Amino acid sequence: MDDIIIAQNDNAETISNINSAISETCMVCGECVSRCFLNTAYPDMNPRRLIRKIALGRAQEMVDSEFIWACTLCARCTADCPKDLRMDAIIRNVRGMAWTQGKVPARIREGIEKGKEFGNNVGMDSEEFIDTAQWIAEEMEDDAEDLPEGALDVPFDREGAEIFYVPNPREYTSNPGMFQTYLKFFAYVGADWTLSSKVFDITNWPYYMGDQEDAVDLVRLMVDEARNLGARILLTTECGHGFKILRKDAENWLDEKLDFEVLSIIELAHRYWKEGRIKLSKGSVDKKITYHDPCNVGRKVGVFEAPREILREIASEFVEMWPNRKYSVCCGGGGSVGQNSDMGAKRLEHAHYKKDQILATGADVVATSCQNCLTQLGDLQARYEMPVEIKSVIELVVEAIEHDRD
Amino acid sequence: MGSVSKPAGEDILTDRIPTALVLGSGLGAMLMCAELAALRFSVRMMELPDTMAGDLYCSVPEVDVQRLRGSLMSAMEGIEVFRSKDWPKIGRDQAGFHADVDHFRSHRFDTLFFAGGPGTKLPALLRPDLFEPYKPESFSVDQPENLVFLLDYPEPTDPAAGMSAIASALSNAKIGGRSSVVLKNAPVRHLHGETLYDSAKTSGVIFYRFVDCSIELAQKKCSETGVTQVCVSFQDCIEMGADHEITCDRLLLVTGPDNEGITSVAGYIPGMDIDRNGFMISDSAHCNTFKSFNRGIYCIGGFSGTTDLLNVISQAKAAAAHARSFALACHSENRQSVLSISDQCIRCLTCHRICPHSAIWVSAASSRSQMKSIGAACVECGICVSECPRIALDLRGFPETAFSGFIEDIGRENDKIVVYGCSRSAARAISSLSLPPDVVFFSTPCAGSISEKVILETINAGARGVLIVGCHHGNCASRNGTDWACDRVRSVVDNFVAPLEIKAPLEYRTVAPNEATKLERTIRRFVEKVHSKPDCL
Amino acid sequence: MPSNSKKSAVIVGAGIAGLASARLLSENGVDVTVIEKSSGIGGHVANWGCMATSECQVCHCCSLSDIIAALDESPVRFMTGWQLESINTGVGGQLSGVIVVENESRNIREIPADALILSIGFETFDPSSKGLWGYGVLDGVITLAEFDDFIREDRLSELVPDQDAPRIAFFQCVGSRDKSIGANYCSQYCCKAGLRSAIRIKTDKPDWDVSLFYIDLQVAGKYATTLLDNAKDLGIHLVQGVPGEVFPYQGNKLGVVSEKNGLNVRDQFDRIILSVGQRPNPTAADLSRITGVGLDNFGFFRNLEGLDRFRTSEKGIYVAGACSGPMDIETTLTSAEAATADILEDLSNWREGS
Repeated sequence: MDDIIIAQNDNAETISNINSAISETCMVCGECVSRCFLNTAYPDMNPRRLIRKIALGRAQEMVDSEFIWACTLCARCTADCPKDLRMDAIIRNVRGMAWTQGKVPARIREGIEKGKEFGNNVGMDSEEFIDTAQWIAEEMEDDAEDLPEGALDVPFDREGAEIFYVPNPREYTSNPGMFQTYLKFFAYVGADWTLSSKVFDITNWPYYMGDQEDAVDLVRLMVDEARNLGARILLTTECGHGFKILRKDAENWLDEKLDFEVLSIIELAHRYWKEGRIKLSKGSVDKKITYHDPCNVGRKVGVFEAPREILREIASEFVEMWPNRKYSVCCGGGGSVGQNSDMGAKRLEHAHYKKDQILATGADVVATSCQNCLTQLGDLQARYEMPVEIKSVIELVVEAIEHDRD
Repeated sequence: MGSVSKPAGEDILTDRIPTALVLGSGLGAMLMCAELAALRFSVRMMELPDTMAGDLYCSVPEVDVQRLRGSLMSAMEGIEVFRSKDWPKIGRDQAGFHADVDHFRSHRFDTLFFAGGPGTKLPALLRPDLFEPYKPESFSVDQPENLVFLLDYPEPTDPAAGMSAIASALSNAKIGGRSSVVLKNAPVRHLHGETLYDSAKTSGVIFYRFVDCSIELAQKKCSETGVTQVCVSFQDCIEMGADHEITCDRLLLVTGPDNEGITSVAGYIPGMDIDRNGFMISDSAHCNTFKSFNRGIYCIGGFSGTTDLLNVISQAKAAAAHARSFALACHSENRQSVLSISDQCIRCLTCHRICPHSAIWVSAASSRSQMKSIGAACVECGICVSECPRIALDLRGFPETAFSGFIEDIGRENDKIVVYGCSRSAARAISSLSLPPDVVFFSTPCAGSISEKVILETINAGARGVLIVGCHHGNCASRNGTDWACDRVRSVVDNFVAPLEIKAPLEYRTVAPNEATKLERTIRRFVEKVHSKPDCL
Repeated sequence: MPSNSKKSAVIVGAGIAGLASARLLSENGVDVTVIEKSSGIGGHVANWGCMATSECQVCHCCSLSDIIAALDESPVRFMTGWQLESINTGVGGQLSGVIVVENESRNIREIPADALILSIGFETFDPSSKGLWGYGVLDGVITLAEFDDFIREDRLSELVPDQDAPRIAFFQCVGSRDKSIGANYCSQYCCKAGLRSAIRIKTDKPDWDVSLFYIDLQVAGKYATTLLDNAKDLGIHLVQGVPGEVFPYQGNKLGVVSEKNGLNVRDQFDRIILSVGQRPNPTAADLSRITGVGLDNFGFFRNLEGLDRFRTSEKGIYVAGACSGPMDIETTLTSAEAATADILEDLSNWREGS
């Protein structure tokens, strides 16, 4: 696939204690200082300083600092680090030390523990998940006549299905509308897909915490389930870090080749559109749309063009934020910040760069393809009363398809 | 060595093999000897007193110093080496030099090479009992040690020296020692310098960056072992939160060549002096740092301000090639009579004293000394002509009549603005410009060839203004010709223009050969100034 | 055709390295032909401006003019608009001549050569390939080479029109010391060049505010401390740490964040001058194929080590100047003249052997 550029800085990541090898080649060039969106919120701290503290044996100060929890692991600061360092890996390393010292935000700890017990961070069992998913589907019955045949039959554990879809817990808890959107999408494209009643959480909170052992366990669960089901495609929902881990890290972590393809749902949509399975007509969404590159999907994995090509096709007008793609500014809610209740409203204050960037485009809609970004951007919109709508790319694809059917 | 065959490509040196004397010691002098021998010079070397022991820095592993020394030793076979406690007496001898190596022997050489190091600079600010100077040629670690290398204190360390120190720190770390490097700027100025720096960091060498004036040294007794240690404390310029303190067994101070040590050396050489940085004067702006204004003299290594072994290798080669072409020129017929000295000469030695190229030689016969010009050394700058009180000197390529003829022309035209410009800078820059109709440009060999007399005569002849354009200070091909011009203009203004209320403006400006636009502006402004004085006649 | 008694050398590239070699070889009685792909001679240095204040800052730019003046009176032949096509070797793999081809007419000519110098120089880094400096996007972000135009053409006042006391920043190490672009090496010329330019501005325009952002200042040689002292005396702000991002700020200003005294500080500038590093000349690959001289990991010609550092694996082929690694003008000149010494030595050895 030529639209996928695997980002550079592809060091293997291993995390236990502070691993100085991960930062020791730093030459204090200062590139990261100016690229960190927290540089005004924390005027006496920046990525370089953090590395410097580690180098001079003062990592504990960082373990005890708020900065490592405010960092969204966006890795924009090291997007083209002259020494190929990766700030997200470094921060997770420091957080890993905090984790072993028991200094982890309560809400995140809770999520990780639920993940260990249930395989998902909301603590839902299989039965409850099946009920919930079916209930959400049934909620759409009112619009059923518009939908293709069988759209409301949610498939579970279908062995031999082409696609094994792993959702984000938001879809069956706080934001069922997203789940409905994906159901519609699958229906419109006639996908051969299934959910698993055992593995239904794409997120990986231990990863945020530098808790490598548990992070690998969660990946193992998903990979094993994909094999059990015999799926050819492990399809991730619009979830940045979940997609990034499976696509980029899983083979390294598990030290084995994956015998199936890992795709993000926007890549699938793009593929189906190119294959002609979806018809999108030009300008079917009469809005000025801009695209926010989620850090994980864009900078870290390199999916830049697929969403843009789709949006350019369906939007009456498409505009870019600047900077974008590899240099996209983080929404401010990634890397556990969105889930960390300790960061509270700060995550909205810290994200003023993103707010300014969005306003500068004059767009009606900010599209993105990560549910974490969606939530954060939605909150930002409310906080700053921005005159924009925040939508997922798949949401817009479904809108476009429905527009054409009408 | 068998019979020496002719160098390729020419026949002039068939009969005579050029000779060279290399003064110095250590690798630099050996390099110089080897290169000269390779170019078929007959070489002699004179080892200088101990203080001149070379401290060359090998910046990166590219050069294996031990192997280099070995190969140079074999190249030195057959080269006669004098050893002396005292400096030889050196003087000009026609195009060459003579050196009295002891009370009994005097030798003549075509070319002279200074290839010594002035020793390492040691700051007086630190307690000398607490550190040792880092000498890369002799430094080695056999046992793991706890070392601190201090760079950039108090002045910036030469990057080559710094890279040497990093290499030493790395080798100590690799055998299990503890190496810390305390610096302001990490030295990486080599193609592989960054790789060296990276591998030092990944091998556990810790780099600290100190804040100005924050370094303090103290002695400490280790509570466990009872061994006396050196304690270095400072502030890190990025992690400023707290003071840092590191203790070590040895503190190595990494500095650079000691420019003050050169002053004493320079006194031994005719016409040799010191540039504004305290290093031996060299024609650095036009050629390279190794080539002196004194034709036939070359200086490489520490004397020229570099201690980078790689650079010194290049310098030695380049100096040898230059010396060879100089030796060729010495034998060229058409260089013989570029400067004539008439019998008006009273042997006041002014020309000998001021010639920037040591191109005027006193043949000291017992009955009657004589001034002789050395064609190969003369660059025809005309500074001697301009200062000769007897008008006894004349350049073949730019005879005295050139000025007088031009001034006569000015006298006839009566309303011209005269621009005298150095042929190296102004004349080259002006070739692409079109001048205002009332401006006459006259190219002179060097701005220093324009005497006060010429300036006054030009004004007297009726020029509406006189502008003298020389090379930038420090960029004159004849070392100080442009400074001569500057001083003379000032002197004429102070002594004549101002007291006599002469209206014709007189100015001095500097320009480089590649500054045509700037010269155009300079002339335009001068012309405007002249035109704004309607009564200047 | 040169006479039999003369040895001949062909030099590829008429930048300052090639020209310096040509001059010294010619002075030593070697018959020299200089091949240059483009239509003019002088290379990069021809475009650089004199950095002298009233005092020479020893940038060596004017050396080019001196060398060309000397060459004008020498028998050295120039073939501009010609390229190296292939080389001929005689007995024992000894170089005997080169075939050159004219760009437009495709005319071919054979030139006898006992020695061949590769002196094709370098290419400057294109900073638009690293997006966040805003080169090519934000007006006011320019390269050091572009800044030199203002100096060379004596129009520094036009650098920032409509501003009495503009703020200027130099960014060092742009495209140098950077693994992410395959250039993990110091370009060696830019610290001094940046400092000289800053000094030049501040001397001409004392009211301007000039900052120089650096990682590690690499100032070598005897003028190093003078440059640094001058810069400090003139009030040029030397700031450790080079911002990796430039953003538009208050209309037409350029904003950056850097760390000063332990705090992240937002600064604004009117012009940002990127001290771009040296990259290998892309034609090095072609010449490597033609001559057999290998390239190193970065793409520079691979030279031999130690005393042979101007020789290559191929007998009779030498390297001079920045095509074997980044260099400033002074080092380039020394290397070019050092290569000359090696040629003189080797040419006389061959005669002895034959």
